[in-house]
Amino acid sequence: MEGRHESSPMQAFDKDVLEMTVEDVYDISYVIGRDLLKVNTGSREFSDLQFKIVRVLEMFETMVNKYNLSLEQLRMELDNMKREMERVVAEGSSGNVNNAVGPNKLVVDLKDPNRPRFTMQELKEVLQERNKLKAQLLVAQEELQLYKSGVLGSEQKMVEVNLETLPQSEPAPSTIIEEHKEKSTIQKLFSFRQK
Amino acid sequence: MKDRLIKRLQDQIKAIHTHKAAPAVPKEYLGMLEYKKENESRLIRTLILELKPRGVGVLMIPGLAAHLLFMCVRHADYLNDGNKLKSLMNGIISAIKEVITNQQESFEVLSFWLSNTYHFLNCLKQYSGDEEFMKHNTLRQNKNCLRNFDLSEHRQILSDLAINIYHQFISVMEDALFPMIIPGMLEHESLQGISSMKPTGFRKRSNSVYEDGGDHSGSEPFSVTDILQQLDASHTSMAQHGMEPQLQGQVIRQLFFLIGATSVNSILLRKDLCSCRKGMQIRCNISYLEEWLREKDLQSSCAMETLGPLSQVAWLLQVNKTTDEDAAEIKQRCSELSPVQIVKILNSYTPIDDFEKRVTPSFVRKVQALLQEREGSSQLMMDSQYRFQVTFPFCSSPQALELLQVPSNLRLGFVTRI
Repeated sequence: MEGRHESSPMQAFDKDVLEMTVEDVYDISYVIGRDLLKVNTGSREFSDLQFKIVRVLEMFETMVNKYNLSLEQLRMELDNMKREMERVVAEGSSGNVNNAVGPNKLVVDLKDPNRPRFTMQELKEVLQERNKLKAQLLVAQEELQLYKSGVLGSEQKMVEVNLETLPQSEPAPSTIIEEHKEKSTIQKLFSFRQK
Repeated sequence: MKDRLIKRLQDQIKAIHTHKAAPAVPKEYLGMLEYKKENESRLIRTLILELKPRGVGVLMIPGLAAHLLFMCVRHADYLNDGNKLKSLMNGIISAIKEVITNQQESFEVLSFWLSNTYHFLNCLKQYSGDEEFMKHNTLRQNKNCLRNFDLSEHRQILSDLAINIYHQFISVMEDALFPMIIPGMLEHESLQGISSMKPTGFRKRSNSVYEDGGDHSGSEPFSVTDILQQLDASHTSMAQHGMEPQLQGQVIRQLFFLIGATSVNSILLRKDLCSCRKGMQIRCNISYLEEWLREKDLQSSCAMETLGPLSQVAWLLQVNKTTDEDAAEIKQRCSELSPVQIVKILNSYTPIDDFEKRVTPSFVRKVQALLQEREGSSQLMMDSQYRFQVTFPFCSSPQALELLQVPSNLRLGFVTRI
C-alpha cells in the first residue's frame, strides 16, 4: 500500500503555512470542494465562484510547491557548503596550527603600519608615471649638460620651426624671433660666455 | 485653458475605452471542448495518461476528468465528424487501459479511474438521448444530448473496462488488508481484564481498547484498529476521487466479506481460537466494524450482512452448550453456518479453565440430529475468494456542462471552451 496521509484532511487547515506540503493543499481543496457542493445553487454565479476558488487554490498549490522546492535546494546548498567548510578546516588544522582560513588567503594585521595597502593597478600607474618622469628628467639633464659644455650656446642662430604655424607666412618671422629671444635668455642664464 | 481642454478630452477618450471593454452580456457557453484533430494524442496524454489523481481541480469537482472528456466527445459529435469521434473514443478507452495496466499496484490510480470511468459511462448514458436516462435531466441537459452518433457499443466496452478496474482495485486492497485480518480480528487481545491466561501466540500489548496502530515495520502485531485505519484510507481515497457512494458501498461490502470469511476459516482450523473468550473478542471487533460503517454512512452497503457467519460463530463460542434447549437455540441462531462447520466448532471448543467442561460428544450428536434437514455443503471452509458481482447502475449527474471551466493547472491550454 502506498504511504498515504494518515491524518484527517481537516488537519491541513490548522497547519503552519510555512510547513505545508502540496498534499495539504489537496486535502484543503477536497474539503472546500465538498462543502461548496453542499450549497450549490446550480446557478452560473455559483459556478463562477467555484472556479474562482479553484484558480486561487491552484495558485496556492503552485506557490507551496515552489516554496518547498526552493527550501530543499537551499538546504542542500547549505549542507554542501557546511561539508566543504568542515573538510577545509580539517585540512588546515592538520598543517598550520594558526590557520583557520581557506586556501590562497593572506591574513593581514590591520594595525601593522607596513601592511599592504595599494592594489596592483594603483602600483602600476604610479610606476608608469615615475618612469615617464624619469625619462623626462634624463632628457632635461642631458640638455643641461650640453648647455653647460657650451655645445648648444654657440648655435644661437639655430632656428626651431614650429610645424603648426608653417602655412602662415606672416607670424613666422615673429615666432622665430621669439624663439631666438628665448634661447638667448637660457643662454644668458646658463652660459659663461658673452654673446 | 488649453491644458484643461486637453485633459477633459483625454478623460473622455479613456471613458469610452473602458466602457467598450466591459461586456454588456456574459458569454454563453455550449458545454463543449474543441480540440484540433492533430492534438488528440496530446489531449489524451494530458487528461488521462499523465493526469495526477490528486490535484486541485479533480479534488474539488467530482468526476471532472470524465466530464471534460465527455465535453470533447460532445464537440466531435456536434461537428458530425464520425472519424474524429471514433478516434477519440478508442483513444480514451485505450489510454485508460494503459494507465491501469502500468499502475496496477497503485491504489490511488485505480480508485481514480474506477470513479472516472463510471462517471464517463454515466455521462454517455445521460446525454445519449435515451429516455430512460433522461428522467432527471434539466431542460438544458436535454439540449446537450448527443445529436448525431450512437455510442452504445462503446458504452458496453467501457462497462467491461470498469468491471476490470473494479476487480483490480479490490485485489490491491485485499492484498493490503489480508495480513491484518487474522492478527487483528482474532488474535489481538484488546479487551480489558478478560484474560487470565497468556494470549495466543503474541504478548499482551496494553489494556486500552483502542491501540494506537500505524507503523508495523517492526514486530508489533496488527490490531483491529489497524484494520479500521486501512478501511479509512480506502474509503477516504474513494470519496476524494468522487466515486459514487453506491459503488463505494459495493467495495466496502466486498472487503467486509473478505474479513468475515478469512476469520471464519481460521477459527475452523485452529483449536486455540475456539474459546469463549475469543468469542467475546470477536463480537467486540465486529461491533467496531459496525460502528465504523455507521460513521461513514455506509449502512446501505449491506456490508454487515457479510459478517453474518462470523457473528454466529462468535455467538456459538460464547453460548452454553449443554442442554437440549441450548441445542435447539444453536439450530435456530446459526442459520448461516453449515452443519459441518457447527460440528467442527463444537468439537474444537476449548475451555478456558478447569471449571469449564468440553462439549460432550452426546451434545454434538444431539445438534447434528437437529441439523439433519439442513441443506449444507459438505465443504468446511468458506470461499474467501468469492467476489460479489459488481454493478454500475445509472447515476444522473446534476453538473451543468456549459458551466464547467477548465482549471489552468490541467495544462489544457490547447483546448478551447465552446
